[in-house]
Amino acid sequence: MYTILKRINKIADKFAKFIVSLSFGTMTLLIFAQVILRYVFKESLSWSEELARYMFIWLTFIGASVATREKTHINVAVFVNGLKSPKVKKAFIVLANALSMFFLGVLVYYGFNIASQVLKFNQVSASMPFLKIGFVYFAVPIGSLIMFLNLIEINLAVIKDENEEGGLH
Amino acid sequence: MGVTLFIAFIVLIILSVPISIALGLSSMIAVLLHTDMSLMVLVQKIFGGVNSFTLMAIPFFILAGNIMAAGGVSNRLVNFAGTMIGRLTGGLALVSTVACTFFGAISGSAPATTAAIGAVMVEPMEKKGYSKEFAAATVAASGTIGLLIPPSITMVLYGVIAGASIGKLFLAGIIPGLLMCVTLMGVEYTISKKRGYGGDAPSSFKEIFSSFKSSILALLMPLIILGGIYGGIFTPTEAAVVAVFYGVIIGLFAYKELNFKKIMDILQNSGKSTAVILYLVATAHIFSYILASEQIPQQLAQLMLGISSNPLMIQFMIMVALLFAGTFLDNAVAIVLLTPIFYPITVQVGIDPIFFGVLMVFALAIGQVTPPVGLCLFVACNISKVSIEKLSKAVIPFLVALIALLVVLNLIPDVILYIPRHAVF
Repeated sequence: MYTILKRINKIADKFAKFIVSLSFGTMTLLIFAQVILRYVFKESLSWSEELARYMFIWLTFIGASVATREKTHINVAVFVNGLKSPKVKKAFIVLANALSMFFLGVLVYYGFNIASQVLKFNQVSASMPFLKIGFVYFAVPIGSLIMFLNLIEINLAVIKDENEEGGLH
Repeated sequence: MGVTLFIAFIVLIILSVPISIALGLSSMIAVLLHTDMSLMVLVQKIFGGVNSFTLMAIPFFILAGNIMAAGGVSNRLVNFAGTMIGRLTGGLALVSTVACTFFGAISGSAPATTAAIGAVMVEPMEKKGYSKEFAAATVAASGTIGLLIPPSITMVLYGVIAGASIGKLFLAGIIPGLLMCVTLMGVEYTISKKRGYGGDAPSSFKEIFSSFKSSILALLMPLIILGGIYGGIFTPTEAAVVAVFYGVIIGLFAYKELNFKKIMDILQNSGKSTAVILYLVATAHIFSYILASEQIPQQLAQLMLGISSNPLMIQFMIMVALLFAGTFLDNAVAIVLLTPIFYPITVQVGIDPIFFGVLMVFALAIGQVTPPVGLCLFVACNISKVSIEKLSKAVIPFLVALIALLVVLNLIPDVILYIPRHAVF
């Protein structure tokens, strides 16, 4: 099971990094094109800003999952690092990760709920009628799910003691 | 409900839960225990927290700063500052501070400024016989100028949360940023004089001119950003994108230190740092929603007004709280957490939102070099291999000077508000 989870997380991480570069690159090009078109060709795009904003939302929630894997989310580790007993420290880290997983689990469940509801209502973008808003909402549950799976792996690693600093972001 | 929210938040922080998740989870706990609101609302709030075009200025400014730093800009800025003031007493220290001021006009972050200039300056200072601690303290303190000199990521965050004009905030940061530069140079000059740190040989006019020529393209970037925003040519977000392309073009064709692969790496790394900050903004949106619906800022305002109704007193109380918070919290965290709490109070006593925004950023900038947890201190430790204990001691004169400047800015609002008031566009 553990090896399968590890493999899934590795693939998910590749996907997430691809999305980060793709969405960031696209939104940069879109906004630049918007400025150029407005000033050089006196033509404004109606949809570039909206599409870039949706890319930005994907960048945030999918990028957050990369940060979970790479443990770069900002936290205050002084208290836990000050603990003398390695056992207590380990328990704290496992608990902290489990609490994070509770939060993420709720986001996965309700996020999928909302996204599929919005999709069902067929709400579409104001400037791009072919784009359903529901797809934008999926960024929250998908990003949260990748974070959730990574935290399982991190927690298992801490319990197995593969890496003592395992849970410290 | 408010009590549950804060207790849950503090317990989660002590357990080392990431601050972003602690903000969201404590709100979730408060909602679950005290209301029968559907948790769906939380998902909508977290989504809405980053559904903003203005916030997009943050990733673009991060990207622009990283591209400029990788494109060989820091070296050129240091050379230019060196030919101008390198010959004075404590020349290399003064050069670091001036270079940080230039660099702050390219990058929107304090630790990034310390890292970029520190990487170039710490070693030459040591070689010249400056103490390691002094060299590290100089680049740590000077990096904080980056938060005040526009563009500033912290100011974009404040502007979005408080609904203040980002253009005006940027303008208002210029004078305090320059004053910060002059103040720190004063500290460096005094210490250098006492310890006998000399300067370099004076540069000829020709050398000054050629170093100016090679850095002019980098120095033009802030003009493009500020001129573009105030000239009504583009929004702050668009200005940030233009800065990105400007950086790419000079990095590729003028300085020739960038290539396609490097740019793609910078894009991904900047994307990751963006996600860390913006995920925090997203979850903080739930937290501030609960704060607002429970009227917690209003209650705190009542409490503070009970002590004094003098706006200046309120201002000073908030400054003390910010200096304290700034020692423990990263400035982005502090802004998203504390603006929703303090901003309504300042509105109630009639403090100008632009003025307060700059003061808030200034106080949090000081927090970046306040021991024990200042991000700029850590970066400087890392570069110079000085222990945090020794650096904490060496940075004290700089800290005292910056706090004195903060007090002066609090007392004379016109210093901050002069440019935004008189700028006619």
